[in-house]
Amino acid sequence: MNKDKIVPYIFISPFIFSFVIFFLFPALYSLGLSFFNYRGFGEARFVGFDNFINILQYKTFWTSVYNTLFYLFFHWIPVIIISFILALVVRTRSLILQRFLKPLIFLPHMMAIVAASLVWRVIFSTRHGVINVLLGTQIPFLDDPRLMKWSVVVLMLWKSIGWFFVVFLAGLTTISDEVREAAKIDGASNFKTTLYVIIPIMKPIFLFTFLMETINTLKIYTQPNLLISGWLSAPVQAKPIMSIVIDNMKTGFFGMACAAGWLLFLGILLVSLVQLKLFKNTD
Amino acid sequence: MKTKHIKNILIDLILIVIVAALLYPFIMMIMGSFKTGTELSANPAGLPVKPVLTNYFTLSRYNGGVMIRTFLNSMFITTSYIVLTLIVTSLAAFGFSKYRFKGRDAFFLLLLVTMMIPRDMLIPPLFILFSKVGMLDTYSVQIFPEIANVFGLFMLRQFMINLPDSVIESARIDGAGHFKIFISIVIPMSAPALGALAILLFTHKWNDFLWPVLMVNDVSKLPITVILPNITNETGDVQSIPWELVLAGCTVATLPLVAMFFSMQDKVMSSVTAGAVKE
Repeated sequence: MNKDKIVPYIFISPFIFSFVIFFLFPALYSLGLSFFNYRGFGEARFVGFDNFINILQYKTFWTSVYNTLFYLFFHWIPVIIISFILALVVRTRSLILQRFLKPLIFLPHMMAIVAASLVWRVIFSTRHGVINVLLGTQIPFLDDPRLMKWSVVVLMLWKSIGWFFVVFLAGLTTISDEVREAAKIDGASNFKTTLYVIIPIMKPIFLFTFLMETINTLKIYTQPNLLISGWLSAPVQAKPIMSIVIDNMKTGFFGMACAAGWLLFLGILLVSLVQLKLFKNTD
Repeated sequence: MKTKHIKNILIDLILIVIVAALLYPFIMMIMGSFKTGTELSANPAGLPVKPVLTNYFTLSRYNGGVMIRTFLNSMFITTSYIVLTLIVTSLAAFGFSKYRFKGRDAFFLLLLVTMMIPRDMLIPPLFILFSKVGMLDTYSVQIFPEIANVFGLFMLRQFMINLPDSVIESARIDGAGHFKIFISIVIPMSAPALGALAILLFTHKWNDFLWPVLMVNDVSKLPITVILPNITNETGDVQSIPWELVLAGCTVATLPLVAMFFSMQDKVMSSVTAGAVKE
């Protein structure tokens, strides 16, 4: 009987072991480091909340927060509208067309992120880029500080439409035809059915996609950096929050890097708590 | 009736145009990979006038075959990572779903709470730790750190909870041991969930970029994603990037993902949207 008691611990031990050494311990270490001035070698000096205060007073940090929220907001609104309309329309098509269109709309989502960022770099390039050659212009999509953020938004928009579309389509198929029929019999137009019947039923799905996308966008790094700079050094006007973490680490300010990471975590925590609260209300 | 018919065809056509526009960057990448450097800068948008395969040949010889090497590295890293993660995670999911034990709920809650900490923010402390134990510049640093996948554990546990206890009980009465039950009953019955998780792990790991950029300097151990933005002319002139080679490289790096997608479309689409829709 005693032997049986340790069995579940044996099953979970590889997981717990790996979780503790690669996640829990580094997380605690990071939390500790965020209160120290540490260059990666030599003495670590305790500095209290200085790292956090420094970052919060650092103008570039607030620019990066602004940039990240800009990316989130301006790609999310069109994504949700375009994907939802696409899903509504595709659902009215013949099954053959649906089976043909669905994977093709989803395909951009499957493209490697690095590849997608570089391909869009070719599309937006000033001198020999696809858009500028077609228009015969030299618009500096990736060099102009006002335009570069919009270029990132377009890339993110393009990359996420497929995912939203498939989620919405799956959501729409769970709404039974009887609901639609009932609305029709009551004399509602297609537009009204969508507005007053379908959208309210889809509310939890909208919420889910919004929160997933928010959490993913808050920690974005690769797309803006690769699209705009071709490597890891996007200019201040386009830097996301993760860049503050990585840039500090690369210049050897490990304490600052950890502190910036925890500030990012606070943002994600806030969103997650909102998520929990909203989901409780809708269920 | 007739106007309705025309309206339908019109909507079909508009949809096809939208889909073509969405696919354009994808098609442009493939078309570009068959153009020479001079053609790409003069005609980046359209079909290649005279398609050439030279980019792929140049790429295979590029920098002493580094593209082939890193492609194989990506394959190796991704495969090892998927196998290890599935083993570790399914063992734990079985423990958490089919046994009662002291500390179970506390453990589980701890895992769920820490799920909100984004992995990338732990790169600075992990960099210090890995450098202290000499793990930088290895395959291990790219394979092991994420094998305890909390999301995967959650997904598999949810699935295993719904497996009927009666099947497990009757196997136990027949004298099967705990591990035997796991291997010969639970794993085969969990195949759909394991498959869905494997798809997620594959897309996640194949896309890995920031982690290897910072943890690995040794070119012979890098994945292909890190090489793509670093392709330069043979002269090493950073100012003029050979975009035709980059596009060919991007096509190669995207191929495994697309191949997986088209070989099991429905499975892929339902895995990546898992959690969104209650069925």
